[in-house]
Amino acid sequence: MKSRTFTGIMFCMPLIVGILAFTVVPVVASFWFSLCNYPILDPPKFVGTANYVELARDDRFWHSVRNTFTYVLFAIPSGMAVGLGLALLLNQKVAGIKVFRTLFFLPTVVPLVANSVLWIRLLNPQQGLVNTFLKAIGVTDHWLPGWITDEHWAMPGLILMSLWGAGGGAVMYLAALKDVPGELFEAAELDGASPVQRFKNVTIPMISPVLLFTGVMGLIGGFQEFARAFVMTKGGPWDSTLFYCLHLFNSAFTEFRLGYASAMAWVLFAIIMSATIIVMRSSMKHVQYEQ
Amino acid sequence: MRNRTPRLIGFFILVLFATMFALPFLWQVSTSLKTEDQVGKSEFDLIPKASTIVFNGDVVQVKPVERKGDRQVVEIIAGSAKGQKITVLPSEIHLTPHLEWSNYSEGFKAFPFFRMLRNTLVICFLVVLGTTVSCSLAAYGLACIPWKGREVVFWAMLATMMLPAQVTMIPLFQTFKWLGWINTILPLVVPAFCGNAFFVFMLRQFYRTIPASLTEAARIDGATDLRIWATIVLPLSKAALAVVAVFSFINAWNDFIGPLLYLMDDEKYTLAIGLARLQGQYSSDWGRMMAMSVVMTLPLVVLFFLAQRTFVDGIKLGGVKG
Amino acid sequence: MRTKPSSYRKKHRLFALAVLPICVSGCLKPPEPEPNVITVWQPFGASDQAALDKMVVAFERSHPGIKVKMSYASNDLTSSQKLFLAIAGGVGPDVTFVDGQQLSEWAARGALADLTDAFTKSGLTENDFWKPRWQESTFRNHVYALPWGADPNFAFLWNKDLFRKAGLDPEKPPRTIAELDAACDRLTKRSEQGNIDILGINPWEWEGANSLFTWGYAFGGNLYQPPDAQHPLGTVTADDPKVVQALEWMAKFGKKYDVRKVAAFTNQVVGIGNDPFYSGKAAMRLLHVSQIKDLKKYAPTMDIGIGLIPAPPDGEYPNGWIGGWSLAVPRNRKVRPEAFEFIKWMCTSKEATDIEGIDLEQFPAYAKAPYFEKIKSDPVRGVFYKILANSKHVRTLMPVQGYYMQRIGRGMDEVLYGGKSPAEALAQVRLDVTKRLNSVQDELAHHDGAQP
Repeated sequence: MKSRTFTGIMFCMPLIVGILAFTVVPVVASFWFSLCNYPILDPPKFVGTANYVELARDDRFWHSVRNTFTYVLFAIPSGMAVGLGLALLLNQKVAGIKVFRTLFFLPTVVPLVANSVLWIRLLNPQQGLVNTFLKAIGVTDHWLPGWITDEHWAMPGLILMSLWGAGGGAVMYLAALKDVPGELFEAAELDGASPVQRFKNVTIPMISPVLLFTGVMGLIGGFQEFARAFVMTKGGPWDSTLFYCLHLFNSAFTEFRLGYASAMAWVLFAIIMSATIIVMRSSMKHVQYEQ
Repeated sequence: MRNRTPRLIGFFILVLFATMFALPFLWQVSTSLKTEDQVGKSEFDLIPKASTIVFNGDVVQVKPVERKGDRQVVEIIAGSAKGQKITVLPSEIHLTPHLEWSNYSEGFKAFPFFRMLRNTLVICFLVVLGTTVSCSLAAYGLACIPWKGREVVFWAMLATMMLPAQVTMIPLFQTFKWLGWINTILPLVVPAFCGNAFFVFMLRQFYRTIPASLTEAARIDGATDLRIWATIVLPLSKAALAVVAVFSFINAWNDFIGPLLYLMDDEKYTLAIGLARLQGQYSSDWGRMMAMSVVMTLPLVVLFFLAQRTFVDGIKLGGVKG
Repeated sequence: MRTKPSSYRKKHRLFALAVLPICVSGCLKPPEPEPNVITVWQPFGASDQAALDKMVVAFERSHPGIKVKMSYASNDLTSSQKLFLAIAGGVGPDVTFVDGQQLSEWAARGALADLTDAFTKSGLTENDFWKPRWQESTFRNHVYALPWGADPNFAFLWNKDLFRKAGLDPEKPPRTIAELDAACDRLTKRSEQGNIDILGINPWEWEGANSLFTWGYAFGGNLYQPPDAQHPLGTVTADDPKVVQALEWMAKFGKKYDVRKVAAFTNQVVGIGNDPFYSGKAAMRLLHVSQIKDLKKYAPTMDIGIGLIPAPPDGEYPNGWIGGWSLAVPRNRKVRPEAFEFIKWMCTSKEATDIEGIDLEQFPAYAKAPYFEKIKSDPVRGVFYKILANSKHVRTLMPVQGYYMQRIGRGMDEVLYGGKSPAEALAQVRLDVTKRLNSVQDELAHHDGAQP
């Protein structure tokens, strides 16, 4: 039998070529930059671990780490939950379901600029729909959040906004849900399982591969969140929405310190890699494939 | 006996949430149909309105022009009396629902829409083609073929997503410059033919749910991996492939930074840049920008609407067991 | 084994197909710059585009044989990724627009080519331009750009109707800070929930550092000292006592009206280019010259008064600083005569400055532009002209400008949101920025005027 290794490599060849051609050089270069002073317009100058040492001492760096962790901790699981809920909701045979699915998917395709302007208005504490809704359900004026005008509520505001992108994940969950054989549900129902139990013991395990995927992707993307804050708050008010990658971007392109930014990038890499490994390893017990 | 209530509640929740989720798009459309002076009003109003007065018994659309004491001069901007200026009291000006289509016609003139559309479509087509083919090949290699080193490739691929793009931008740009690809679409398109970590991972997850019995049976019959990939795996994963195709199309369509950095000539620019350009340094044509934004979003909406049957109705893999 | 060869070949074919384009294109050489075509990168968009196109047409008409190719390159005033990547990658346009505040930093860091020779030969002198803008265009006595626009910042506007409603004389705007505060007292109206319905003025309406610069100058202070013999990169004076006073005033204002409520009030219409002032909700504002057309668009029937920014008795009146765009050549391009000709024409010719003024509502940086004669007696533009003629200030002529501007913004947040004392906050700003300035001294040493 011909070596499976050779076949495996051939199938992965475009991927491997891409990694070698377009990723290896920039990655190695960026590691080199992290050990240098690199003002972009001048060649990099070696400074050893100075950037990393400075990182460790930089309050703002730690602040951005905390902000980003907060975001990931809250936005990713709730995004997944909303996406799954939507998928279950959309799994019905209802008239016009195609229209509904499209409506849920819309925020994912609306350009960020239009979305941001809208959300700044929606989150406006005086007039925005969000607070109007909260008022309607009885929240007193004193407790109405200031959202992005208030340093305590700006991050929650951005997390809330991110939930609207759950439509993308919902699509994938939907595809996975459709793949769950009907017989399994019938068998469970015959056994006397309640809807909740059916959900927990049949649905979740059957779509666990996709859940793992969206979870890991959410993690990787969430740690690198940048565009929303850049367009809407520029990190404010008072650095409350200073995401890690926003701090990185500023260091690189506004302060001309690409070396320092590269050091930040590699620290982030280590964080993301560790988080991913933890999630992937711990999921091995729970995720069911059929191979 | 079937209880109707859960279904009704489910439907109600569906409608409620759908409205909430559709809001960004609805607001976009609404703003795109507003007149200039209405666009910036602070009241949150989804219904586009325009200023009107009653003139000779008709309701005509006007534009406020000037102030005269405590009266206002307005100019009639539509209808047979167009161009006429009238002095009225502020209370005589009403807001009536009105759809301002000129934002669309002006928007199309504001930038070379069709040229940019063509540029964008070329890139999108190539990206979708390259992505679906290369990613499903790689995913098959990572999921369906047991070979030494596949975990290494998998993790190397994952790792490429973990380093923020801002720091690899410059060396990557220099790589492309060395290849002579700057100011062409090659930097945007060729990497698509080399797989995309996100989609490879996704397809790998789907492929791993394909029963081994299927592929084993084919191998026993003497089929090569390529044939198994083409004749068994691809058709079974139509749903997931459709997701890959649609999502990669959307990404390429909306991609702004890639074309901006690698293309140097205005003639090569894509729609995403054209849209961003409508936000000027000193002025922004918000009505037009929203109109063009809607125009840019519509194809994606239509694409999704049409494609959803493929990726949502899925194929029951489980049924082929045993 | 007998099935292998065909699939083997197939795989090889696929592989070759994938790699071939890479090899072929690698052999392609980058296109040579076409003779007599100059490429220009501009960061304007929207309706400003039309005016730029007009300029190109006029230039090509008066310079037959030279073609201008303009393309869009975004510059959000904090950075221009596209330009930096191009320079770092050794490609780029013949000419680029640069914002005034970025000039010193970009010039100091060697992003821009030295134009001193071309300038000396051109017959222009520094007195042809408004002095603050000229200051921005040079670094260490070398010319790195020609100033194109000169934005007088800012004119002071007030809504006469709101003044009347509040019992204030619409023809007598506040002249001092004390009068401004008193006017705000009467003008600001709140709803029962404590939200602001009508606001007197928003002292930090111009994001971050720009507000502190504006009011700092009004109070008579300066956030930096320009380079001199002892301090070749300039001196940071963020905690200049008068600047501290300005921030103290802002802090008091913020405490009185609640900075968060002011932010909530302002971002009701954010991003739309509109402003609470245009919708009649803010009584006073500071206006940028390019917003004159916004007034017509969004508030055509408002009864508006226009004048000068109030200042305390020991401050500066009239006061203001000049911003504006300039034209430069990126470092790795030779300064082609056609390119410099274009730059010179754009900045000093009658046609260009007329289009600039009339179509773009930008004041030319060329002090001798005939446009100024036209607008000197205009009720609105004339006020801007007065500010322009009297302004001595320009922001940070320092190579850590990007960092400085953001650091000031953070310092302001610390005061307004965090309640820190202005003196402390600004002292820390000075320390941080000075430290950064010293650390870049080595980086910049070899750019000391000399160009590769």
